[in-house]
Amino acid sequence: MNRLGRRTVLRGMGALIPLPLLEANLGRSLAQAADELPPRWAMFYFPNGCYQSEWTCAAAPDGAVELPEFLQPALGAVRDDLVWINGLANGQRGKGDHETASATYLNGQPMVNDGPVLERSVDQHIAEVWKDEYSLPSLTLSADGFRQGAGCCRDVEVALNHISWQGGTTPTTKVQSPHDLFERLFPSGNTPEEHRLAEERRARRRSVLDFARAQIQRLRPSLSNNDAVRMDAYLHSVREVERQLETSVVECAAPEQPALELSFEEHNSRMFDLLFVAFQCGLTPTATFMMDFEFSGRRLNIPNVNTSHHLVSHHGEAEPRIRQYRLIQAFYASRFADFVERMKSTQDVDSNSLLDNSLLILGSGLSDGNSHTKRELPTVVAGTAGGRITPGRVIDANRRLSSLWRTSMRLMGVSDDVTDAFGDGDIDLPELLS
Amino acid sequence: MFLNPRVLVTFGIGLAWGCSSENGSVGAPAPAAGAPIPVTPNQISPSTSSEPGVLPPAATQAPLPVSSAEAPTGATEAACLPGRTGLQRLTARQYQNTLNELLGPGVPEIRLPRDPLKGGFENNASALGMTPDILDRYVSAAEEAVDATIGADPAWLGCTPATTECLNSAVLDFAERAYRRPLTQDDSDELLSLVSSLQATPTAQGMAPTPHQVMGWASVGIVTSPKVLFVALDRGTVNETVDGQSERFDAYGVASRLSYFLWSAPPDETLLERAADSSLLAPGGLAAEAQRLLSDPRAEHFIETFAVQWLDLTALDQQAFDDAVVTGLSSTFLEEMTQEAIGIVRQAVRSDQPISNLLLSQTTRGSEALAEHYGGLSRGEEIQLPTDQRRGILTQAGVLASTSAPDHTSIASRGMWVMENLLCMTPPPPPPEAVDAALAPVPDGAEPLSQRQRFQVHRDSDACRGCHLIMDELGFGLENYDPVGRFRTTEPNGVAIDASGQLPDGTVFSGAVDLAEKIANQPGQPFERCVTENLARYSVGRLLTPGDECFLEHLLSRSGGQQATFAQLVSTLVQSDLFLTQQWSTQVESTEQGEL
Repeated sequence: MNRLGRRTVLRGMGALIPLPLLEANLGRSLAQAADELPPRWAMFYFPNGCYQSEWTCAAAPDGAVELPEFLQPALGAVRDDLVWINGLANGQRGKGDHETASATYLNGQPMVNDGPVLERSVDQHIAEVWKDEYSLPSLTLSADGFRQGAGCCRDVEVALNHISWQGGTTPTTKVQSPHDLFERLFPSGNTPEEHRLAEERRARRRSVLDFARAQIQRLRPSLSNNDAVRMDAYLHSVREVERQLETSVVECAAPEQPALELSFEEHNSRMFDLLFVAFQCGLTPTATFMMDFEFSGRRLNIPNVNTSHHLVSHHGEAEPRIRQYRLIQAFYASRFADFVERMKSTQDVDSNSLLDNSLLILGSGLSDGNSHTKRELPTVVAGTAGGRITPGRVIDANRRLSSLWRTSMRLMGVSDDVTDAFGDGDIDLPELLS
Repeated sequence: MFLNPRVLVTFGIGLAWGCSSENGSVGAPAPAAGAPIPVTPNQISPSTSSEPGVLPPAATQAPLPVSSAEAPTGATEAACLPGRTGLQRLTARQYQNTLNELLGPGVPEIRLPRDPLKGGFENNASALGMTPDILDRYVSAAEEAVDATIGADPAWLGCTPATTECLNSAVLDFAERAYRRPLTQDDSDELLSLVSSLQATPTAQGMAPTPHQVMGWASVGIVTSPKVLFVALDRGTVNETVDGQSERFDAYGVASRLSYFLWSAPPDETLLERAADSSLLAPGGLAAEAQRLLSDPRAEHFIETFAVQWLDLTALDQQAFDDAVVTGLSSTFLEEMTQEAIGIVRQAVRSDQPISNLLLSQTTRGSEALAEHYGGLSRGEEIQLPTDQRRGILTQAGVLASTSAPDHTSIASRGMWVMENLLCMTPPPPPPEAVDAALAPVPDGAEPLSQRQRFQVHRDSDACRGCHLIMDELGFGLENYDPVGRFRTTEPNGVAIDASGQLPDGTVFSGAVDLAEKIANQPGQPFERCVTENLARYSVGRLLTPGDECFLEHLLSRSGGQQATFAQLVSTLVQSDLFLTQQWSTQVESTEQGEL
């Protein structure tokens, strides 16, 4: 059957309403059900791994999640909304441990030579499925700035800064500030006058892009090889921006635009705020948020932390560093928990919560930051993806990380053909579904 | 990176490729002072030793290279085949400058995504991708710039009444400047049809747009055209001199490459005139223009970009030091360190001193606070360094700070910095999941060890020794400077510092001042070569191929060895076919396949 287009629904019901959601039809096959679900999939990445010997968590006798003590304050309130996944490993190779951690995280593919990856990342696969129905097929969010590589790996520094990839060596361009994210989400601004000007801008952009397209098409035949590839990327970009012009129809009450200059912690909060609005209004089906760059040496402004994140990740089992390392992980976990709570306390247009109709993942590309292992990656899932996941459980997966992405893709409506070819193994994570 | 495996081999240092015990590499014990760092044959990777024309060196005797293995001694440049840059998107910085030059002083500062560094620099064509989001940001930037300039100036069109003829001719004039070359018939046709289509687009008020409005909108189209967004889209004719295998940029293409190299900005009117009357490519033409461009204030863009990226200081502002380390320093000290590096390179560009003066200079540039930091004398912008403690770029605080951890110095990072940025040697990454035992926290109550003692673990480990023998030795030489570059003679734990070490060829040094002099005096001038290599990489916007290296040999010999000044080096470079031509056709690089 045809997927009932989200846009069709929205147009039918008028603008300025939250996203309508069809009843999840649990009796159907996964793929069929996903066809009808407006999906929300988001991955929240924190760098430099975790204090793994304490992160792994056991199930309580009743099967519930027994949180690691140091994460109790951060995650206690949402404990029963989580699925705690132990034993996911990323065995991909690449240049530099930190570089490989982020670049291959959502790909299940190795880095190659000087470039990071050849495979499109999981969020972009999801975006591809839904792109005709959203003006923003995906949101790729990150902390502000750019982390520079060190020594050996400067030429692949792009790997430290991206988890989302278009394929080839091209990363998905990131939105690096809440200010810019606001402009992406609400291109038409807040007032009727701004709306009118936005309409004019759209009209003239069409002419401008027509002009660029005509030029590219004239120049293209004389180009060969790499030049042709680069020009094609340009043409593809023109078409995408044109397509987005045509699909920008959803209007959602815009909040205040965030300021340009924000502290790292405020930046993080505002990103979560706007992502919440984007999900509530159905502006995008999928998002990644690289809360900080891999290999980050940032000194977070949180109590009892007074040195670099990367430095304390090399804790050498010394308590003063471990103490700070735990606090930093708890910071990121608590931001995730706040978002989960908000999604849970907001009703979607069916009578379920937004959280019920989402799949949210918190994780890092390194397991133990001290040793750079990637065998027990910290991974926490929240949301039931339309009632298809039962929360409040611990899963001992003991398989490759890409199994989680493959199951994510099926839940979000990516075709079996694409999903079967994804990643570095042929195994899903069916334990997630129950 | 250039000379990556080969130079290491000619240096007589086979690095354990992968640096891992898994590949069976077995390092030698620590060498005695004065002996070249030894290497066992199986430390040289098969791919390196089997490379055509490059023989594995005699393990302990190879001197520093005077010229690379395939340098055709006595032959001409014509025997060298250049690599290929291909379409090179304007960087964020270049695009901002382009809008500034085309639209004038009203252009606001535009926030575009920072471009990734590859090969150390932001202008590497293969890393400058185009994605829908980047295009969207560039179009938005153009709209913002045009609104703030043409949109804000009702007299921009310059004719009353503003007829369509007047509009058309203004659009064509603007496009010709923007495209950086004369318009073709196709260009004109496309532009006029853009004007017609915009004239038929109603405004927000539902009115027909005025010619002035159309001018603004057409300008957005022009400055987002591929002819503007790529540095030298029209490359000119095929050069038949090397079997039709390379192509020569025409005068306009050269003009654009030259100005984006030395200004990060488009050619000015003078440069375009030199391209139009072909005097740019006549004898002496390029040297004169290179000189003129370097003397122009716009060369600051080059000086800043090259200084910060070559010296690897782009992440300096992200360094977060522990409070105890930065006590007494102003809140702007990191910025001052960056400015010092820029000042040093500016001085080199403007001076008639040889390149080696970058290493040997007894003065630096910076504020009184910086002079105090160094224990030097402040004289205006110049600082007289205490010559027994500091010399040249090696001991500048920015370098020492950017290679340090928040609470301690990092010998390996500093050694690596010297290898990569002064000698152009690139060691491979550490083996996966290597735990650096030298960095482990010191247990309470343990006997205080010197960093040198702690780093002994690198020599004791088969997996680490191959690379760390070289980088640690160089790093020891910089131990007299704390994490923010203050001179010191003891470590924080009270242990006296021994800052002696040896260069890869076994030359012994004691302390950083001696290290700087020894590097400057190395046979084969590895430092000058390395500066040349970096300049070349930046000027052409690509990683250098073996064919490109062939050109470098000629560049170095033509520059007159160690006596070349920075400006002479630039001048020789832009007159070389390394800069003026590129490979005509090439396979799609594997890393770019599937870019869509």
